Amino acid sequence: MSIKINSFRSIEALNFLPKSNQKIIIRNQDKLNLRQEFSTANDLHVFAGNLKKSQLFGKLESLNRANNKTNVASAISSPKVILGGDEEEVIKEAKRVIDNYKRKIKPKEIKGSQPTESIKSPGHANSGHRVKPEVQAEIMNNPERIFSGKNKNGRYVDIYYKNGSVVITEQGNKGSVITAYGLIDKKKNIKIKPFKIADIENNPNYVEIKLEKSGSANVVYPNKGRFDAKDFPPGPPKNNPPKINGNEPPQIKPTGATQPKPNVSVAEDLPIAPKTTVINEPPITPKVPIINEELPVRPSPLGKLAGNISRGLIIMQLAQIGVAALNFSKLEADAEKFGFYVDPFLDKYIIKDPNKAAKNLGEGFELTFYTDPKDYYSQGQSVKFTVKDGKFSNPDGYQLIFNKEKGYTEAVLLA
Amino acid sequence: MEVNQELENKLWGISDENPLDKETCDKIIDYLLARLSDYLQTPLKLSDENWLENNSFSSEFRGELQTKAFHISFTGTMGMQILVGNKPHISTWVFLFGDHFRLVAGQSDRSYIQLDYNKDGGNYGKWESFGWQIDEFDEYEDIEEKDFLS
Repeated sequence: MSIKINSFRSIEALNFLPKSNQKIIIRNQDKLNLRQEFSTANDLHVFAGNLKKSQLFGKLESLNRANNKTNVASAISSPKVILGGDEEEVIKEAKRVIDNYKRKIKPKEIKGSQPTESIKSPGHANSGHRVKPEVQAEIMNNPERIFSGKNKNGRYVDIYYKNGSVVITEQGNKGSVITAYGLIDKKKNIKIKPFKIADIENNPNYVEIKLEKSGSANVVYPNKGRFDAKDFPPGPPKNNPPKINGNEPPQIKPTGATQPKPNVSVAEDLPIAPKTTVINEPPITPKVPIINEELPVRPSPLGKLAGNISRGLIIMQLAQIGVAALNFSKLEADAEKFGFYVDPFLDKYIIKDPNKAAKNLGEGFELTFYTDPKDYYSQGQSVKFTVKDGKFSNPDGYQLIFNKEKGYTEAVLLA
Repeated sequence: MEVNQELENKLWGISDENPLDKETCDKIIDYLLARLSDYLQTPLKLSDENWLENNSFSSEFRGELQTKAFHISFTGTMGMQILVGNKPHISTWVFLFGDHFRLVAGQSDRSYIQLDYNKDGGNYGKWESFGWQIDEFDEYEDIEEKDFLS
């Protein structure tokens, strides 16, 4: 059973399948070619602000691990939402950081990192651990695993792991190595042991980056809190650890207190309870449940909904899978403004004004339109459209026309 | 230890274009350790062969303070490497032991003392202590004292 959820403007209140253990995946399909994922135990809240059409390029999916199912849910998000900050700057910085993981570095390019006001330790892979630049480069160019995050000194770093050793750099800069140790360590006054990768795997301050042969980068978040921290990929400015006054040496903190807890943010505009006072003649009277951990996990037919559907029907479907809190007023406002909205729970573009929608979706946008709006348990026939010259175009001559009488858009084959 | 301006010049002039040879490296390390010994006001003893690679060097030393009641020893690593910005940077990491137990600051279990040899615009460097530092990557948790007690 598959539920797909898309939203061009928000991923709001995805309180579904509340008892499941899910992995959330975000695919930024265009500019970043970045895939992000994190796991949830029992909850899933992903929030977003208002997005513009230009930000429509991400896709969020949820995998239900308990049932080993994929594509349980998906939603479109934006880099601004994912990363925070100004979109262009965020994308630029994120791209730089991701590209840095992919690039091959030469030994001669490698230097030690500079100490900072608060972090006195300079790069010391060579001077401290006697690890040659050639060895450092080999690990960074062919790592088994890559992690990125904030260490207990508040420093943003990348960790390249291979065969029991690590090279640790400033985040986003292979050329600025902080340290390198593990089995490659040549120090004599230390017991040489493999680097404990489990310490990083289990550390909520880090994400894991998985490079794929296709060139995309997957980012694995250890939990939702890490995802919500919105600090990876990093937006500028970065590497700003807290400063310590003048000559005062850095304070030693108890080890246990140096690991900050994940910053779990909660959007203030989370629609906690749905407003469902008006329902347009739904075939089944919907019962929209309050968000509740006791909600049962139920199979959903939503993956096969038709392309246009009345508000009431949506509510009914949401009720069936235990979803509450869909802000219909926002969707309607989107429909008014953009000529369409993307229902965040249905993976469907709801076209209200085909001409306006085509312009806002942009040239080349492809849409599969399902022709049987009444049969929301099956997809019925489908017609593919592509936005061309500002209008939906179909090679067989179908046109998208909003039927005012019926209240939805139809695909019509004109004689 | 008096300032050796010739070695100072060689030290601060190290670059990709001015690589360091082993003989000069050993002289510089001896010189820096002597200056460090003066600064710490305690004798230091090299405990391993100096390491020179790619214009970086590393040396290891030890020292100790013996009283009737207890024994304080320390192992240290002194090294130089070129940092971002293409300038040499000299640091020393010192790990303390009391009666052969690792000594750390506060509740931190892997802290150490850092000293840098800084020129700060002058013609020669001076040792400066930054005091206790956090082992921010837990890379020094397995520092051993025994290898230094020959």
